[in-house]
Amino acid sequence: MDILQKFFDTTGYANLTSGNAIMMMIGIVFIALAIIKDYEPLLLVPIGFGIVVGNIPPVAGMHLSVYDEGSVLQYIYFGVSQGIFPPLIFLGIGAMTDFSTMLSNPKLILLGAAAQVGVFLTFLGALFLGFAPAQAGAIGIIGGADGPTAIFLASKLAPGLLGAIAIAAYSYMALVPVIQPPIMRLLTSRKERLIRMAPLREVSQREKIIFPIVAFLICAMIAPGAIVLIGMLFFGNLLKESCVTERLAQTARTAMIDIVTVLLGFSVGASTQAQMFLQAESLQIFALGATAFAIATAGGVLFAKLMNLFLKEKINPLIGAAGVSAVPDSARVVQMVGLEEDPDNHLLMHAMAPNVAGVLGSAVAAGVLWAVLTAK
Amino acid sequence: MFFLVWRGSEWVSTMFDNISERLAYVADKDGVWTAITGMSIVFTALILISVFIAVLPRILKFLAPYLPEETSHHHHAPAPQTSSDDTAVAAGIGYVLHQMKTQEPTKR
Repeated sequence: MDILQKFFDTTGYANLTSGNAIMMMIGIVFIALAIIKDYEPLLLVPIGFGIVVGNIPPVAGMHLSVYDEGSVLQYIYFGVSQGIFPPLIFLGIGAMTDFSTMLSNPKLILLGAAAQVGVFLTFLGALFLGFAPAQAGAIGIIGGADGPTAIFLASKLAPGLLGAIAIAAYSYMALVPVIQPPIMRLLTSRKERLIRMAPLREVSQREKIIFPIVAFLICAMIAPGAIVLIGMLFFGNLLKESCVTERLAQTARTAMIDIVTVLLGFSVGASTQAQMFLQAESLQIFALGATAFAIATAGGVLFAKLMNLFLKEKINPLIGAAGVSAVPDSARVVQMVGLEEDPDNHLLMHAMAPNVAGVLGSAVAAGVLWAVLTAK
Repeated sequence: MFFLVWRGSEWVSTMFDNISERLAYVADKDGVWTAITGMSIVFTALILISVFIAVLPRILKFLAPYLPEETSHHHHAPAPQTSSDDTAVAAGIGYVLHQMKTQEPTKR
């Protein structure tokens, strides 16, 4: 009987807390959203299942969780906690990104810059709520709408908040089609939404090859903290555009990014143990994250309207919302909202320019925040 | 539900009670200057990239006589692969067309 009692005391049933049960329900909701609603399934399924796994109650003396020295989950989580996985994901993103829409209309890059206002205003909001500067910077980067960047910066500035920040960032990225359209309609008139943009020019292969090299030099010299993320992004893009390393580019944008996505999503989910995650701080982070997305969307749209005051060839201000670097979801949202007004006005390719510029902008913002806030 | 609303309103009122302290904290940590500096650096980097991209075609045009386009082993990057959705859509269209054709009355 004693042996049975001892065994029962080590089971999850004996040690399950209400917090663990709540987190498991959240994980199952994520999985359901991914499968039923098709909300970012490549992220939400690994994260959701990781949450379920990570909230099986720990057993004393057995190294099982992400936080136990020597456990398998800790070894997998090493890639997250040390900021290794996000640059590898950026390598794959670079190898699948086509910058030609941005190259054909360079002024749209400024919309990607404008959307980063969400990062810095959220940084101020987090400070206002009492977070330390480094924590506030890690929370602010949620506004960049870039999961790998958010995880990378959180691992450097606020490792204790990494789980909450990652879950907030990926959750809101999945909700981009819900969050953005009302803001876009609120800030634009029907006449503005009907603006048609000029066709994109042809971009030569030489431009596509030279761009990643020079753009990396510009960004890295200005914000050295962004070297890793921007460097891998442009390295991946060069592999793609050089046309002599197609095998490497193909591997980077398929097998490699899929492997890293699985490991990253699963281990981030497993890190959200109830004891660490269900704190007042996490709720504040979620509230700030939603604010960050809203401000970033508004920032891009309003900056497009500001640019139109000075441009002869007007920009459809809807594409400013694509400065939020949730590639390609926010560009698809712009396309959808534009088509509602005019079924023949296809804005997708125009929106891809600020969309990929937003990736650069959020990576530069992360580099700046890391450099400035590390010493504080 | 009532508990959540009650705790939420407590939290909001606490926040507003301490506004001046919180604003002093933001100022003490150079929050505003950090935000302004950060946005400026982001804009500077992307403006420089934008200017470079705008000038690049002219630079390449200038260099064209000295560095002609190669026609050797380089080829254009492969066209993006169609997703399985595109294939499914094409298959669906083909099926509908086939159905329409087979249901047309035969001409005698």
